[in-house]
Amino acid sequence: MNSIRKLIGPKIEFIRNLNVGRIVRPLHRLTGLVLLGCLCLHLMALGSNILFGEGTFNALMTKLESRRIKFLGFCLLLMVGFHIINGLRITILDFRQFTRGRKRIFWIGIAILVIILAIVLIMTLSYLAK
Amino acid sequence: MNLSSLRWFLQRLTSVLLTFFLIVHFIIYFFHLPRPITFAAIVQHIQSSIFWLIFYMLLLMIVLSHSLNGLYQIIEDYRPSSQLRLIITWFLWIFGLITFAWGLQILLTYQVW
Repeated sequence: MNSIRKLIGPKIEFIRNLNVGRIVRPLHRLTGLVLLGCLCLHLMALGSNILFGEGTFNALMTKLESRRIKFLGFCLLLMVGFHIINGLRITILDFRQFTRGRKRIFWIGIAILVIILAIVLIMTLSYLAK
Repeated sequence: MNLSSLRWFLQRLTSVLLTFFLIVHFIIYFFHLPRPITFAAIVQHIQSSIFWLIFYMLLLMIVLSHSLNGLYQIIEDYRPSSQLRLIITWFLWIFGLITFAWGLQILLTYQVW
């Protein structure tokens, strides 16, 4: 009886204390790992012109236009979207309870962020205006 | 500020930065580049302004920092021994630097073509 309780106890406890964080946390990690793998593939595909030449690169890009690959690309976008939204949720939750140290870090971060975002925004607008 | 809180802070900062950089990257990828994407189109895009070279260098740096830091945090949750932790840290640093060098090489190839 005790062994059964030991076996299913954690599972019951998990279900009883089920909340958004508990479901989303492993998914966030899983999508993060998949995206890291995709980043490596992305860099390998982009670097194919260095290894095999321009012709191979163009042929690879044409292959990526197939419906199957586009569907995989769509799944990838969904994963990126989920990872971003959940990441922002975690960030907001982390900064909700400010301690003195965290508050200072937060404002330093905001200042750096504003500067970089302004530069990127100017770059993008100037480019799109051409 | 100890190393752990610096890592926590960097992860949060890079996540917000990455959101913005990725949105710009996706806009360029989906709406600006012709289909199918060709080598010439990417060269033209990268060479159109020096800012794009800087943009993609920053994107590469931020995405590598965020992903490898995240990977380290996942591994750390399994409480590895201090020796294993040191090996993992070295491995992630070397992997990150090699990947960054590879990305930089790709970018510079497009820039000087």
